[in-house]
Amino acid sequence: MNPKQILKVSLRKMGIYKMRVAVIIVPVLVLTAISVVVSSELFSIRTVIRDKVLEKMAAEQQVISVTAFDEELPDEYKSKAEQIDGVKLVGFEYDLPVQQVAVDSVDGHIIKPYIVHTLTKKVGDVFSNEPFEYSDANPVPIILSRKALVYQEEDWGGKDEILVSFDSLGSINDLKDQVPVKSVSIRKPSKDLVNKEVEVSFGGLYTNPSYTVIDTDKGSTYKKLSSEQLQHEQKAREESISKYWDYQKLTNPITFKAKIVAIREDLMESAMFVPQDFADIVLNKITTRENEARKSTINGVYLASDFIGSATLDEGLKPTPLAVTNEQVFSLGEVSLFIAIGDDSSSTGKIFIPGLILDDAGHAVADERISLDDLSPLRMDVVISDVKNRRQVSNDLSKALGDNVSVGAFSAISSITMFTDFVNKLMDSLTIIFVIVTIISVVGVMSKIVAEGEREIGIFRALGATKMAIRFLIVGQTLIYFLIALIIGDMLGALSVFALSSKIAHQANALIERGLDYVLPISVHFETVDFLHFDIATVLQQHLLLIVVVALVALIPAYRASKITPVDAMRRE
Amino acid sequence: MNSTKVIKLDSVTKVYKDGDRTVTALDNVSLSIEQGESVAIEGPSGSGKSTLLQILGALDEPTSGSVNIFGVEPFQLNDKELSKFRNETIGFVFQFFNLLPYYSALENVMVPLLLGGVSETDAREKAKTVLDELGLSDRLNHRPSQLSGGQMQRVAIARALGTEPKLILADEPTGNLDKENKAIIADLLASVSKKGITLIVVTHDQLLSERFGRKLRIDGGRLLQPSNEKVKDES
Repeated sequence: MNPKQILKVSLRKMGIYKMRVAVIIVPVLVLTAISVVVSSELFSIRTVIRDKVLEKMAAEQQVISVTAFDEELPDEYKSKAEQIDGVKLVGFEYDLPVQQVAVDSVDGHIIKPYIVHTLTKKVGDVFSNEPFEYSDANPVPIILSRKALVYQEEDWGGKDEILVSFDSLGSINDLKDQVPVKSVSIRKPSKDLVNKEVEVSFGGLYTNPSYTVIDTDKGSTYKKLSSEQLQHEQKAREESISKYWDYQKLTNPITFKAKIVAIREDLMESAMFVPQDFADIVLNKITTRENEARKSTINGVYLASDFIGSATLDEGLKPTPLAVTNEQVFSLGEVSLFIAIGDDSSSTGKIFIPGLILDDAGHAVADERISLDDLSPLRMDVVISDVKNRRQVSNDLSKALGDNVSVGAFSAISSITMFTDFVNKLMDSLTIIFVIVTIISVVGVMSKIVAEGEREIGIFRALGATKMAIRFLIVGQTLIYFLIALIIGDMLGALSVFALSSKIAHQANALIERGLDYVLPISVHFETVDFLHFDIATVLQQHLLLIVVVALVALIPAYRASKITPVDAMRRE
Repeated sequence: MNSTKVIKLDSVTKVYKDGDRTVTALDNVSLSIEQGESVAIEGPSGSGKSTLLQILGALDEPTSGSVNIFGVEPFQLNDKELSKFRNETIGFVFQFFNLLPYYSALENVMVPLLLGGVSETDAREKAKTVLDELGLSDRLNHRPSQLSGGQMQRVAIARALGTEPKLILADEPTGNLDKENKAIIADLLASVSKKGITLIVVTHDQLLSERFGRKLRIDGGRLLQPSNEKVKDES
């Protein structure tokens, strides 16, 4: 029997064995369609991650962060890390004890990074196209994390009072929708933001909020303050501070001309990076100014109501971010929640004073200056020679440095790599399920078709068909049904991809807007075309594998069929 | 008519198992048939006549004894040779027509031709010619389900004739037909016989068997005294 005849028999039989053939075709068709959609979308995601995320993180991939669990990173760790194969250079990072950091303006908005890190020149140079160092003559080069590119926006919808009811809060996004004060991410690509000159400021006073939040058991009421109330608040603060400080000196922050030299896409924190040699200048200026602004010795415990800048001297100067605070600022996604802790917040009012230096009795130290030497490094940046060795170097670092450190564990790159690994595994699992279902349906249904078609096979045999021809017929028939299913499945899958891509892009953008960037720091804007990638190679590979499997599996009913004799068939008359 | 013996069965026995029971379907049957002869095989149900026909058609292998059909010992052939032999030498007509339901009349007739390696165009032409001869030119594209019993059997006969076989074997060809169609098929088979094709028909139908040159009677798997004097010495 030639293929044309087999095709004809198979197609004609489809008309007769509609239900049976449907049992082969429908599951294969559905699985094929699903497989095309899933593989295409996963491929799209992989492609997007590669092109829109990892490519942008080319520099970041060269750096592995090592963080100490006990907030101490011994000096010898640096030399240990330097000895590891594939490590190019190592630099410590310090967190600057400064507050009220602002960058004005990024894409027209003032942004306020939560934390300032230092980077050595060599590490900074990995990210920056120009030397990452401070010079009097030039703007200070700064690097911003993507998560720092957030500004505050108020949207009262024409109202003066908004009740955010607990009952209506299904998710963090509901909260975001309802509260009038929102954080908005700047999603411009890095290339539109770097090389822009800005002004960075350190210190200064917290802007008095223009609204109050009244919490009841039903929810929180956000209420705008009237201009009288605002003035009253402002005055109260000024009077309170002026008892001990030169209010004007504290109010004005210290500013520098700066230039954004890079956006770091890999970090989950809102951070600004400055050159290490610039850090001392900032610290010196801030402490000098505060000391100059101080009118008398004050009991710092009550006024040190905030901040990493609060420090004690007994163990050397080190940041004590939470220990003495009466108020903390937690960031949850893009929503800032203010949570009062401790009992005496009422006695301090809403006064936030940056960079107080306290002695171990809690008294302010008037004439202390702090410099980088007084601080302990919290993080070590390990720059690797080849990003391909990232995993290997990470493992070697973990082994060499022991359990006290976390090696790149929270890096977005690791998460993304894990995610792409997961995607690959998902595809493999899908293929395995596909193969199993196909085998079951092919063997089951074709055996049934052969059993029911015994007479027909007997007729063919009586008319001169060889056993081989019968085997060809059954295998061919199975393959034809299978191919029909694959082709229809592919078409359905492709149509679904076309139909879904814009929706997926829309949903993905909505997810990003609504907090997926909490886990994926990079600012990605998806286009429909991003989800229109067809993973033709994988689909073809999968199809080819399945065709081979089906052809082999079809040999089972085919051999059974070839054993049917014309007499067997005729006995059934 | 040339008196060459083209079919020779010598001491053919066929035993098969039916569950625990052993059934002797044919018991030491010897028989020879000449070229162009038309033979009716009669006998009650279960007498072994269909088994005999299947052995004559090289469809079923005897348990013992030798079979020679047109100078070929079919059961000595491998599957490919045997299939070719069946295709080229023998045409089958069955009681229940055994047409392929998803093929048209024309396509059913084409099947053995295509299996024999005839090109599709030639097969189509040949099938048309044969169906035309059997008065079915207006039914070429009808499926079996769209044909009457008599028409179906005529298609089956056309299918058997299409490959121009030397031997036609028919198993109760009128067994499933009404009186009118029985007569048509009987006429048709008689005309086949006149063309010089050797024809062996298993039948209960007296009217049909009367039309053939020789009658063989079989019972209990044994060939009885020939009812026609042509059957004399088979050895």
